[in-house]
Amino acid sequence: MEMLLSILLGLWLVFAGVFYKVFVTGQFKMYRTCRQENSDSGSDATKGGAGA
Amino acid sequence: MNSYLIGVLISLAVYLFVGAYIGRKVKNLNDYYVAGRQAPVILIVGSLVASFLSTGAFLGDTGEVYSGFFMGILIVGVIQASGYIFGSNLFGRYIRRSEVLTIPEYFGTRFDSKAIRTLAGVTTIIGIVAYLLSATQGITLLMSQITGLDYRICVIIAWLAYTVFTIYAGSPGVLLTDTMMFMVFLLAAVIAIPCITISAGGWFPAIQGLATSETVPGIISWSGNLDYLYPTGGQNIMWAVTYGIVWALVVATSPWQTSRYLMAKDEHTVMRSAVFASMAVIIVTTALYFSAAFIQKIHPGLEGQMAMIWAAMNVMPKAVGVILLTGILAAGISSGSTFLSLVGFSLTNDIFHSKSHDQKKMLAFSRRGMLIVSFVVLALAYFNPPAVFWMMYFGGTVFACSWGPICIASVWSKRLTKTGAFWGMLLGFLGNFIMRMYTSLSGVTLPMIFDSFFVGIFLCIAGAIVGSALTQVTPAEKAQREKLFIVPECEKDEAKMKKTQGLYKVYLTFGIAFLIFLVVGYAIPYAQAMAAAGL
Repeated sequence: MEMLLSILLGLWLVFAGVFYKVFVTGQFKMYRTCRQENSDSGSDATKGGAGA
Repeated sequence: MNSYLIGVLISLAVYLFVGAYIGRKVKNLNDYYVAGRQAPVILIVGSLVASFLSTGAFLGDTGEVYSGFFMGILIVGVIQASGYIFGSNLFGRYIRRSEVLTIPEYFGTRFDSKAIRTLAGVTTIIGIVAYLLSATQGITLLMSQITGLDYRICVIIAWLAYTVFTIYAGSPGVLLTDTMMFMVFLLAAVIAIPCITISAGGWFPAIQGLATSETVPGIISWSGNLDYLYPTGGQNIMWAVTYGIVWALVVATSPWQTSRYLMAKDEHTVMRSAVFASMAVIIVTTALYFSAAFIQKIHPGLEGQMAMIWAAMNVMPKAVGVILLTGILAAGISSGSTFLSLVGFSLTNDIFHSKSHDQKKMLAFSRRGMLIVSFVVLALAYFNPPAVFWMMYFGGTVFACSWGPICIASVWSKRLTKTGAFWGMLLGFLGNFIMRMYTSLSGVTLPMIFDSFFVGIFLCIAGAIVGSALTQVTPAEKAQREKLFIVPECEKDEAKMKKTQGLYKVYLTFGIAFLIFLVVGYAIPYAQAMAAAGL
């Protein structure tokens, strides 16, 4: 049980790292898309993000 | 005068000097409240960790480990630290984008409601004053142990230690001194553990000795010592996971953590700081928990919360002991300074307002407000009424219940209305407060499902859902929420994005290294010891 809990605690941190990667990558992908659309339309700031 | 006291007094003088120097540079409210929104990663990490880890972690949590609850506290420590990763991405960067001065102001702006701003301000003051009392008493306990002085004299020294520079220098002073104190207690935790390990007979012999301990049976087993909290291992693990989640919510949404993000120079700073803060908290707390368990092997029979103080004065070379004691003191003072600044800011920015628009007069108004709050805290700590004890335990969890769901939903829910947010926050606060008061004052132990956290968070979510179902999102609320998703152009710098994105590799590597460390340094020697003992 001690071994299992040790592994689970480590894996929890790995999960948090994966969450960070997926979330940040998704957000930045939108930033890049918005930036591209911006430069095409000449606007200063655009919406971006999953909830917009 | 003993060398521990000299070390402590020198460290206090340095913090005062730095605070006084920084305070001279504060020119306006933006400087005073949010350090001009120019803080780099190192200062945000320093302040996040220093305001989170207080004497509660250094004396209280280590006391629980020493008394037989190693695995439970380790689980809480790891889960709570992951709150930085979730909180910064789901909430922290959006409040930085809202450009407010305080978190209650964020709620007021987001929901276009003075009522919710005032309610958030009041809950901030009540919850943080309770927590500030806890930090003050922790510092006092340490001071009286080191100096042998009377409790009340130590209360005044403790109060002075964080009050003077906080009132004068505001957030810039708090950020810088927090970071210095963070460095001190990080160093303390890292250098203390080798000394304690050597005294315990070496790492692996110490783990093996604790595995078969007869003085505190089960101290480092998965279930913990069954005389300590709950009578079964399953209940102990349930408690640990629940409170890990509670404290992850505190890390993700409490005002003393999220307000640090308001000072960050950009959103990349917010996200990078969260990664480093999470790792730093895990390193410091894990070092402390193993140290506390090892102290049990070296010297059983201490009062739990005295374990680290005893080790600093009896196990280590004097210089290392001085560093450890000043580190513990730094943890308490840094939390005290952050808490006091937040209460003062809420009082003068969210509840009472200066009639003047002159920056100097508004600054003076804020400083006076903070001074009044600090005197109230001093009086409460000095006279130490019995009610103070249950208030301390209430301080942390109240924000997880009443703020946690509302913070996250304020960004991610299109349906949450000002009425839903108001009732959710109020009911969550009252549910937690009343249950905590009832169980603490009556001494009744209720089933875990009626824990104040569960009651509070259930009422918060119910209030938010029912309140939002009965009302409509106004155009102003909708517009405010949409503004949170407008990304400033400066955040779209490609080089910055790559650097921020790449940090996941650092965190993943850290997670894997932590797993290997626990398996090799704890689980395997534990299993070997149990097998050798035929258990």
